Amino acid sequence: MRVLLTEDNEGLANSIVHYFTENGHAIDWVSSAEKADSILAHDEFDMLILDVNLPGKSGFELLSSLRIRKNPLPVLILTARADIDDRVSALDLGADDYLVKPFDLRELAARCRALVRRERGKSDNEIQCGNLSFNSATKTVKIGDEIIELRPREVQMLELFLTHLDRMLTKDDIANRLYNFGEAYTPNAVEQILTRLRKQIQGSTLIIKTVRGMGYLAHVHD
Amino acid sequence: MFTIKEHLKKLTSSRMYSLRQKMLTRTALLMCTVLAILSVGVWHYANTSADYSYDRLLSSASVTMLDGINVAKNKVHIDLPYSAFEILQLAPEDKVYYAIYGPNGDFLSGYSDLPLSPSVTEQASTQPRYELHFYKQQKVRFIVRHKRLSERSVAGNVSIILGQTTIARDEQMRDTLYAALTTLMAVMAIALLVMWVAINRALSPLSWLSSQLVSQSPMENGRLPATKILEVAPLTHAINNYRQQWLDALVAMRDFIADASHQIRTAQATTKAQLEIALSSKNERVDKKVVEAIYQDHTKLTRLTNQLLVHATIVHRGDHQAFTPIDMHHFLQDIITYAVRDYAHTNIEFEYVPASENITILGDEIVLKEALRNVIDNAVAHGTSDRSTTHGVIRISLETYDLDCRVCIEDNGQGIPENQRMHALERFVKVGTNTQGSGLGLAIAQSAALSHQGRLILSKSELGGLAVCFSLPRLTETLHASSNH
Repeated sequence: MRVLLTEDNEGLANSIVHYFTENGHAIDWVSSAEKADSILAHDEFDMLILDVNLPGKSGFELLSSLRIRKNPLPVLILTARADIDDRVSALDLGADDYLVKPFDLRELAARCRALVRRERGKSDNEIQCGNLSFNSATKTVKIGDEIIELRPREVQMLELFLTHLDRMLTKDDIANRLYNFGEAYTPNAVEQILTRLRKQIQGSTLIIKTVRGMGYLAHVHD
Repeated sequence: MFTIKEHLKKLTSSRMYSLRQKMLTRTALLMCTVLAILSVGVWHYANTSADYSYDRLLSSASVTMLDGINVAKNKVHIDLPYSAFEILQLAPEDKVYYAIYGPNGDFLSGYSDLPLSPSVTEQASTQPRYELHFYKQQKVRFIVRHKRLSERSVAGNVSIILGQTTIARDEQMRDTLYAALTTLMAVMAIALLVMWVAINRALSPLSWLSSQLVSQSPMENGRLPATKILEVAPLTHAINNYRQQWLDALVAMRDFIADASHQIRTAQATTKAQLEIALSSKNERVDKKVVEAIYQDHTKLTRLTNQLLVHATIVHRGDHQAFTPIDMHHFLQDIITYAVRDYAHTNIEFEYVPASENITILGDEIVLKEALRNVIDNAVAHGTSDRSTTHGVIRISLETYDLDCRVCIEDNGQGIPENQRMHALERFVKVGTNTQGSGLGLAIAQSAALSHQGRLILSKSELGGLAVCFSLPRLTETLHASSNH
């Protein structure tokens, strides 16, 4: 993925650039919102990491001007302000995620990947989650290079989870996707399909958690 | 209209004024008005009394003069008695003018050009008439009196017009007026003086208070000396109370800063020492284990700093009371979703036990989110660390409890022994085998609960570990309606 980092602290920026480059991502660094704006005007990026406190135009201003121009670029906000409201206003302004400084570089990279994955899943047929890949056109599932054979309902369920990563899905949400109006199902059926799916994708970086009383949540841990 | 009103309000409210000056000016104005009204009265009285006394002189002199008018030899005979003029001599500076008219109105004697003349219709029995006229450039008071002559030869009224200048009576009037006015003014002056003394006396506790407050530092734990004045006692009491609250808050803050500095500096010292050792190592390559240790300690420091800031923010926001209605079911679902996502890589299982009815509370979403997150983090860190064989379970439940709602976070870890639970709520206190935490998680939760007029209850969970329950007042329909207004 290609990332644009807007951060005025050189030490932190260097570390982030170093980490992302080591992990095989293309990353460009600018130190102000104005520079970011001009680069974004003629270059394509997969996502933007944006610090709030910048000299000159603030990160929030850049974010809202992007959203006013209907630019769908995924934006992750970095904030260090004491006021916790910052996080709320960041999401209100159209940020896709936020991290509070200080953060783990690993966490930052994981969040970035999740954002890019979400954005790509909307347009591409191929969804890549860590070592698990799913082609929505051919319905093939791979862990690493190995193709996994799944039953149709398991594929449907997997696709539902992959398109709703990090979101809570209730049993009804899943059943509605898996069964037609006419089809009768027992509440246990969903559970059984999930158990088989879990077994099949064991060893992948996709984790499906059960939360009793709420539902199910899929998360990519890479 | 509105702006004018506001402007006026601003003008009246912003101007400073002296209470003493205002009261004195108002009293003085009132007294001047009273003085003016009284002066008119006194002037009128002085005039009347002077007229009354000198008119008597005029009256008796005119009677005496009429006595000297008789009929002799069929003619009106005038023999003015000396005593009449003696009477008038009582006003020695004044001049006297007179005229006597016969029965047919013919002028008999005296000054013929007096500004008034007797009228024919007047009867001798009628009361004498007094008039004030200007004659020869002077004010002259005249009396007109008649006498009936009933001789065969001369029958009819003889009239006498007797005038006297008003020097004496004016002087008496002035004397009376001045004497009365002087007394009045003296009384007024004394009243003003008494007023001034009274105002000063009444205001003296104020200056006493301010001198007391100025001489003491607000940071000192000194109370204002007791006062015997009943009206001032509540004020000194209120000031003492207010000050005590400030001092308590200050002490709490001082303790917090001291504790916080100790904690942060200790953690910093650890990392710094480790870095120094790594730097001074003779090996060119730094041992990865050393870096790992530094990283761990730095993570602890980061967590500590974050929690200190969160704690400070919660305490600060608690003063603001920017509360909104929160639907607890959705609120908890959001929090659990985030927690599940963040701990998805661990083998911890989350459970949610919703309430049977909708529960809304009035609260600060951000504060509660931080507090719950801290308790969940605690449960994750301590609830499961000692049981590698079984899955960690964290149960979050919501239920109603009378007028309160209870949000409980339970784990299946070791828990905290009952005798240490109260202790665990204190800042920087780490209970049991916990060495990684900052000792602030539960303190943050406690502050958040208190700022919502609720409380934090620690107990033993059914799951075997610790149960941390937030008991928060529910928002009932009536309260909800009033909060919307």
